[in-house]
Amino acid sequence: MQNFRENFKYYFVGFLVVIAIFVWYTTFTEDRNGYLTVAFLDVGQGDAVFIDAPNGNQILIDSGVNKKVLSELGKIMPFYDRSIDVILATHPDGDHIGGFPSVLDKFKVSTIIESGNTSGSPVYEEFNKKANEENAKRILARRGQRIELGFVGENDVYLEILFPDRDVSGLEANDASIVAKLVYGSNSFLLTGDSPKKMEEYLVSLSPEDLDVDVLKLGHHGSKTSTSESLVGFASPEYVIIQVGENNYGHPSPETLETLNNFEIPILRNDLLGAIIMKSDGEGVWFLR
Amino acid sequence: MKFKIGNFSKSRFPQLSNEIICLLGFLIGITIESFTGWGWGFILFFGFLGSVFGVFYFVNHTLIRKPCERWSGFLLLTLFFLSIFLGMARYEIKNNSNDFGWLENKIDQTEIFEGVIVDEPDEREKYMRLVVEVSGPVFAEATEKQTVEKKSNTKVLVYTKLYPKFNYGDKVELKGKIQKPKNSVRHPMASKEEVGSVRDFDWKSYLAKDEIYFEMFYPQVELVSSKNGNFIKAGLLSIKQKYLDGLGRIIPEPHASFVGGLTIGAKQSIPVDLQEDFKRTGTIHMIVLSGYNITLVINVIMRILSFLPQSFGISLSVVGIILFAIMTGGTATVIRASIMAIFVLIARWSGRIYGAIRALFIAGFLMVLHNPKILVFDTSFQLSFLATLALIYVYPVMEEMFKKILRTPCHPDESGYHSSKEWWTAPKAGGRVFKYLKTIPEKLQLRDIILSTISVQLFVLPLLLYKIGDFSIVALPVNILILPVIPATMFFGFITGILGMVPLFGEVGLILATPFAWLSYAFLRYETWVVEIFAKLPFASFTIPYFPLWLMVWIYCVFAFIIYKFGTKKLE
Repeated sequence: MQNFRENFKYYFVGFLVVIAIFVWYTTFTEDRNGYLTVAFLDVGQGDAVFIDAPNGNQILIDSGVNKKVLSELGKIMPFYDRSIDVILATHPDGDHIGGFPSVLDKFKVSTIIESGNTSGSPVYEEFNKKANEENAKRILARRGQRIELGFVGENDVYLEILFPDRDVSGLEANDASIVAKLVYGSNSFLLTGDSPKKMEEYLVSLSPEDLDVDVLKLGHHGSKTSTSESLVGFASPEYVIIQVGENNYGHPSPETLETLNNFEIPILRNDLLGAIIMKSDGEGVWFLR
Repeated sequence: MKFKIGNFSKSRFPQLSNEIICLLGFLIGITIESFTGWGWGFILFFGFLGSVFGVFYFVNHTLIRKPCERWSGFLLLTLFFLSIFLGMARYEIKNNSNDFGWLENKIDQTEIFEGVIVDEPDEREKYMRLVVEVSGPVFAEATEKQTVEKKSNTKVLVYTKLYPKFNYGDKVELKGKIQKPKNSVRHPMASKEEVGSVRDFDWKSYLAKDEIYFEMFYPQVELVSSKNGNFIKAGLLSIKQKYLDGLGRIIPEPHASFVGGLTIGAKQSIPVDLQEDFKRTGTIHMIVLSGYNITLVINVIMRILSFLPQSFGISLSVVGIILFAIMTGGTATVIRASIMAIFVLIARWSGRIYGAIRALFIAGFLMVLHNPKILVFDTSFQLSFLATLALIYVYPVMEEMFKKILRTPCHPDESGYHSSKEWWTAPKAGGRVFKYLKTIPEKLQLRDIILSTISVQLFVLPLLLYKIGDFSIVALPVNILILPVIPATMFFGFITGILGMVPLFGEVGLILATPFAWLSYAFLRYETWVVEIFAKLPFASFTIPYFPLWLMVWIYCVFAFIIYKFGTKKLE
């Protein structure tokens, strides 16, 4: 105790130094400098996309198959940030919503967006239960909705829902997948869930000009049931992302890879690269490992 | 009596007395029966052998007036063989106490069973493991839920998907095929720390020690009713869950799981690759509550409290250990290790080392008597016993050696050079460095923590090599870098978890806990950083494919010799 009193001033100075470091740390992490971050998380065989907007708004689209999403989020979110503004479940399959129960446990979530397609599976029931307990707003996604993520100068940042455009509760789960486009200035990302070819073609028929993007996340982990030539053609992306891990389904399929090769588009795969983190300043898109 | 084997008087080493002979015989008996399973014929043979020697002894000592001194060893032989008999008999009785014959007939048939989950569900990355005590009634699939006769309870290890979640005490209906555990080189569902990396692993015996004789892979599981378990255990488990939830809400993953593992040993949710890093750097003991890490944790608790007045410190440590054991869910492993650690605690502070060793052996004996299968098949039990022994025997030797090295350097007020020609002789400045080395670590109890850790790790190494075979070269530096900050991490982590689960305050509890959470997070970041850096080294760890039993026994003999030699010298 004697020692403590004598050295009190040193302890106090040390304490202040720690506080100062913390304040500066948060200042630097909280100031995004106008960058949009889109992280395709390495959750094994499953989808999980984390969006961090220039104004600090955060969206998590799908959550992989299990808790692994939590430690992936731990890697890219600052340690004091324990909330996510929006979570979006593209459709109720286990490899997309499997991590949401633990995300809802550990994070404060204010809005939950779903397709309206439900499932009787135990995972979905758990997700539904936790979502109801969360005291969050629950919204059905419909074509034309925009989730506003703030302005940077002239540039609007928003997530636009392209599908579903109707009640999809009766459809097969993959068919009901939410398809969304993230836009920042002249950059855009197309996130397709597990949407199959027929839905892709339907979207092309609705408005092909909406689909022209810089980054395309392929549907259904690169399965041959998704990624039609017409979608890739109209999208004409700079990069495609395949969210795939070890699996017995043969994802990504050789047919899909062949299609992409024909278009000479660079492919980024989670099973080869780990988490894929893309940045955009509204004028260009690049990726960090 | 001339026939006297042990005469290591007044030392910390027990005399080879009648009790020791009995204990030794009993343990040997259990070991023989565990490995061979010879059955009652041989058991009775040992009993007969013992009786024969007993008769000799009796005849010699009671009936003949002038007993021949050379024959007095018969008493020891009598006791020895009778104890072997008792040990084998105990094992055999335990082995046959389970009447699960009725389930043997159901193997590989699709059936419906009903049972209660009797342990905390073990959640892995891709599946969940439930221990279900199947009690019947059993319904044959074809007949319409027709009750077959009531059967005795048997534990079944059930693998299910991650969802739906089940809890301790849930009564469930299982529909699927029941199977016997198989001893394959790599059991399809076993995790690596149970199986070892490359060795053949006796999965069957590993499960049998917990009286699990059957497995079911992905049956249909339906909840019948909840809260059929022991309410005390259920309460403790729910406290544990709330504690972990509290941590998870404030500290990001994987650090939240890490600190959960550190404080109460819940390592399930730590990502597999981080677990792999812990293994490569020889630090997995921090997060797996099995065996010797409990001894280490408790050692740390008591050292931190050592500034308090002695009696107060001891009582507080004992309370701390009990709380710790309760928080972890009070599994058999934890209780065993805690009891043993409490003995060491008393030994170190009371100075009555011999008494504590006696107590340690008696505790070990009672544990083996209760469940003889742990002696050979429970690595965790073996590790905690050895770790405790290491703290009693190896630590003082290490301490002596360390002191010897530090005592020799010169004092700053001396002329500059020592007359001694030893290598550590140093000029003034060097002397000062040594002085700092001497004082600073002692203040923070670092020296003791490091020394006891080295002692324990050194002592359990042969067993680990024999059982698992993974050898980490960087274990020592990593442990030295990490262990000194572990107590602080645990302390802040524990406060965080406790505040986080206070139900009255809700969010307020979380806000109060936040500063502590951040402090422990800083330490956790440092620790994972060290672990990840060292794990990346290409030579960090390698696997020894074959480490024979005789080599392990031989190494322990060498250890015993060294300890005996140095340990007694110190006392003289």
